[in-house]
Amino acid sequence: MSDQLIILVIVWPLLTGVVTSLLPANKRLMTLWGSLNLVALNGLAAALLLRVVSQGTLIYTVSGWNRDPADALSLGIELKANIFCGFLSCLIAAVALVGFLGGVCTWDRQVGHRLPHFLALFFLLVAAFQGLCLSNDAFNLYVMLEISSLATYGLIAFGGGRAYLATFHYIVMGTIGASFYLIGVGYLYIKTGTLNITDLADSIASQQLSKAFVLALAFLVTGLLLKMAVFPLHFWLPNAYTYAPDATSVLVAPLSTKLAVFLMFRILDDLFIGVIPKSLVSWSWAVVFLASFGILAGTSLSLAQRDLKKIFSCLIVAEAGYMLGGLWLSDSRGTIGALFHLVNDAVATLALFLVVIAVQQSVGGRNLHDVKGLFQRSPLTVLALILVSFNLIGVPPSAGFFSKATLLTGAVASGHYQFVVALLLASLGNLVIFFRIIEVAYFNPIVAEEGESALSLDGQRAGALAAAVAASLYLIGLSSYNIMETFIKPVVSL
Amino acid sequence: MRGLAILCAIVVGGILLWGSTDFPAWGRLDSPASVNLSDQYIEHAFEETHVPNLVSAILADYRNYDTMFETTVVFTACTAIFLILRLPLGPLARHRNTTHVQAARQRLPRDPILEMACRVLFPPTHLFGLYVLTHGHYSPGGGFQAGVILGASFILLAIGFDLRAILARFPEGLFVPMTALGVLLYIGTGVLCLVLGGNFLDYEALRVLAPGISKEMIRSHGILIVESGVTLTVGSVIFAIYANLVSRGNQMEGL
Repeated sequence: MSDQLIILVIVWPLLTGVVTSLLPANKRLMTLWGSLNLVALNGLAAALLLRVVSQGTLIYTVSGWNRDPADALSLGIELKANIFCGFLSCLIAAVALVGFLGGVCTWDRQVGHRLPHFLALFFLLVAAFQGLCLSNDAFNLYVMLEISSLATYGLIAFGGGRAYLATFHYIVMGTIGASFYLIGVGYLYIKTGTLNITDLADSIASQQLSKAFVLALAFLVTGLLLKMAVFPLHFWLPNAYTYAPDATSVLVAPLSTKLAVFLMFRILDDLFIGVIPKSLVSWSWAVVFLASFGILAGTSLSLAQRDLKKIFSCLIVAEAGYMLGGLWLSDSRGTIGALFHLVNDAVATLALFLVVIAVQQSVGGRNLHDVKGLFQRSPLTVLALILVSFNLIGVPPSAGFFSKATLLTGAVASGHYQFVVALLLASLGNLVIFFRIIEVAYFNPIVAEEGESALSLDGQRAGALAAAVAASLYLIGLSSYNIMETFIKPVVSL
Repeated sequence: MRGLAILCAIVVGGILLWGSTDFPAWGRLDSPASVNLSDQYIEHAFEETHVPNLVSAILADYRNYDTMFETTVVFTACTAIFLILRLPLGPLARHRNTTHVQAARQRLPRDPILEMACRVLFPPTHLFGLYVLTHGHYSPGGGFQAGVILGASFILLAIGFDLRAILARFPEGLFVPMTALGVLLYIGTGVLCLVLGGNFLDYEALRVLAPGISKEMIRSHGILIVESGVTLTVGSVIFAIYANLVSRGNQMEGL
């Protein structure tokens, strides 16, 4: 029975999503229904992780088409959970639960009577994320990308006003990215005749690396670069995430680009496993350069913004550069650092977008001048902000320190000094970005006006949640050695 | 900007063409795509599923997990459109009713020839849709195509008469839940297989419920069940999207 956990982790939120669309728009009912289902999902994901830890990688054949014994090709679709997939699945479930709870207080303001359909898309998105994390089939991954994109478009466009144009940009870029991915998969299929990732990897390793494979890799990577929003292809992201409803961005921002990073890791590490070190060294240099440039560009974009949500959205662009660079350093420490940074960044971004909700609920705006006196009104929110900022700057013992240290070691060992410089400059940039916010929040006390003295309970709660999430970054940091050794190192080859 | 876009398209297309010179020759029997999996499917699909139409067998059995998510894609698109476009039926509705009456006054008179033609076409279209669904095992067809035909038949009526006349018989309270019920039928079949002891969507597990049926035939029946779910979703989604798009989300006055 424990083999079925892997499919349950995907199907549970899927079923929840479809059923949710049929339920009445009752806020209390929806909160209960959603949190119960997400708690159950967390339980399932944790059980899956335990199963994978105790019994090793789990491979599951949907619809029972086990491998043909004759030439051992997979007829049906396989799901695969190795130890990092299990860990990531738990992370997705946890982020979804916390994001859901953090978003509840914004429903009245931004969702209203459309709640069932909004939450239906929310859960479908969670299911698609789980599917992206656990699928072992190149085409199935595309289908999952499609669902996650469609649900995201709907959830973002629901913000109304400027969100429509932002979503349109996102749709155009997202569709191009997905088509590039599909072209890559098509080229691979023509050359190998299979879609299963394990079989594809075997077939690629047994054939001569010809230009069709290189092109397939190039198209897969370019498609994912679009989804990851790395610098020159990033322009859809800041507006889309800024104008999305808060309950959307708190789920989409932490996970969406990170799963594209994970997909890229799978393509590099699982698919082109025997090929990468030999023939793509010349390329990897260019990609790392792009990543370094992206880090600096994202940080400077962020410096220029005054809207809190946009500041944090631009930081996502910079963070994508960290992970992209790490994956292409052609050094195993770079890959380990990138995957650890993925975990760290998902949690940090979740905390940041919870802070946005807390600020919005307690002071009614999210501009830089709105956070004036935030420390008086919601000290926990400021605490969360400080904790996350230390993480992004890379102060020990936060998780950000360890991920950056690992990335830097990898970069120095493989001689990519421009990446080292970009990382250090970005840390400085983060220092400035966050000091600006904290300075306004702490040193500019607000002159108490009448009727404003009542503290918003919602804001306090969201602030507390954000502080708890931010504090967990330090737990992750303190156990970073264990996480890297147990969950990440076993899956990284090279 | 436009020139740049055209240049990009030409460059990317050129690169793709350049890459395609590396492909195995068109239609060769020993190309990887024809030897590895295709042989397995072509030789064994009929014995394993008793479905002569290879496409249906692959779509709804070997790769039914993908098809489940493709159906979910359709459902997701519909939910997203509903979320964004559908207007609330709140205090605004009364106001909209008055504009609706005004619009109705300006409307062109009904055309009896057009209405009669739609009336006559509707039942055969429906029948054909059901035929395409049930005959998908033997000939080109299946859930998605049948759904499109069924949805199109309602759209035909909505164009021939007007949206309100159709919504009176096929109301929103019916077709919106139908979009979800189709997906639920599909996922539910999968979960049922799981509960009965098989893997997810492994139709063979359903034999517990129907002991007299061979394990190949039960796969064939399983395909029909999930295809019906697809039809239900696709048909109602097509009409739901149409109804929301043409009326700008108020579902009062169509084209």
